[in-house]
Amino acid sequence: MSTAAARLGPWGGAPAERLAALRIVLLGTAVAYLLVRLPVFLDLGTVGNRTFDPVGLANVLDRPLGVGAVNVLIFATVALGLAATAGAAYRITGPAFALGLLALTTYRSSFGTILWFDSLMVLHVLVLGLAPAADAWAVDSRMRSRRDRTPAAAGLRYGGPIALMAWITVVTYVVAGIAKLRYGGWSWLDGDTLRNHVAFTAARADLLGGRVSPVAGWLVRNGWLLAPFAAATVVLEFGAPVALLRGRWRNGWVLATWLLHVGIAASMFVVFHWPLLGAAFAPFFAVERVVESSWASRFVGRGLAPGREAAYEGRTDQGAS
Amino acid sequence: MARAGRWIVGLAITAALLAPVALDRDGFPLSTYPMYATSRGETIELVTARAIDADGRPIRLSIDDLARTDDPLIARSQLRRQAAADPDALCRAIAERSGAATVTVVREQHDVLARAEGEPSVLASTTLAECDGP
Repeated sequence: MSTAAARLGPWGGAPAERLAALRIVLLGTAVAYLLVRLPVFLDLGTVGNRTFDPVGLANVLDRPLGVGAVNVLIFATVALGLAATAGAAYRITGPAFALGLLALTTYRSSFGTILWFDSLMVLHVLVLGLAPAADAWAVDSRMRSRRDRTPAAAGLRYGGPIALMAWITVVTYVVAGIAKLRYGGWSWLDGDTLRNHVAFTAARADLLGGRVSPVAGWLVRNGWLLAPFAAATVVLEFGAPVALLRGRWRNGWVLATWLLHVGIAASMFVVFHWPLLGAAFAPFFAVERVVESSWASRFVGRGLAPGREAAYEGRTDQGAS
Repeated sequence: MARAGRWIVGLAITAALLAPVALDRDGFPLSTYPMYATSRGETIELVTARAIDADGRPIRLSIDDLARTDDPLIARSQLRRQAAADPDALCRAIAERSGAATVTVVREQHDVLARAEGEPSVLASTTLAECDGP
């Protein structure tokens, strides 16, 4: 990014390519998640109504959807997600995919267990779906650039949604920290609660025919190891705002938080896919540089309007001034 | 959008994110994120099932046999609710999915620390239903 763009400020302006890169990375990850978990989502069409306990938007339903409606919702959402990731008819597919994902994940959480690991993904996709994320590296921007050679100008138009996604990540972790002290109390920090959670998760999986982490038993036997881990967890959650400082503070927090999720996955086989795949943290970084410097640039690069660098020459939209 | 408008949007979204905390009400996608937050005791109570094959040998039921899911969190919730509603129907469904000769649906209480260390862990067990396979 040019120095002109950098002058827009760390959370002020951003080039259109950054928001476009986030569209590709985050929406692509969300679509991949839907496809990988397709059997689970398809199974939602065949569950009995005895366990239906609607949350959020699903409260408009008084009974579960039929198989056909669930399947239409799933495949329409995937199709919209693919189109939105490519940036095709984004003003329609972006919001529509976000709403479809919200509806689908809300419905999935309406059978007695709220699946918290989907929340941050949905919130990020809602922001992206309503943002002008197809002004670069998109089918839309290619078609537009044939008519209008003026490149998209960097500014708050693109930086605002990115800052909002970063802020949502930060607040989410702080809320998780508040929950630990609110529901668990200060004793959460001594490690016994965490040890019991590891043991509980392992026992639950074992008794229900699931897979048990091979390190769970060792961790329970050496529970003293979990005390610093518990304290570090709470410090990281309440310390999330340091990620907004960028530089080493951001890098350190993101790395430590990612390792925290790796630890959770290894010890409890509980996978928070959004942070584990890096999607939760992507808004903190200039992700367009990754795309520009990789093989992907051969594909998306053709979509760059001529003189894209001019977009970085300090021109901003009205809100950037 | 004007700067004031952006601030209003930012503040509104922050308020929405914090609303579950203020109201102490979990939801989706706005949540209190209570996972792993509550004090967790050293016991677990859940509904599960035991099965034997046609030769009378015990067989291990998979999580898919038990609850048609691969997530233990969902499985526990489903089994609890289905057992409360109709344990015999749950038993028949498990027997059909697993192909076992006999299935017994039980509510059990275990010492999770003992279980994690590979030691005997059953503290209590109640049979809810028993049925033959297809």
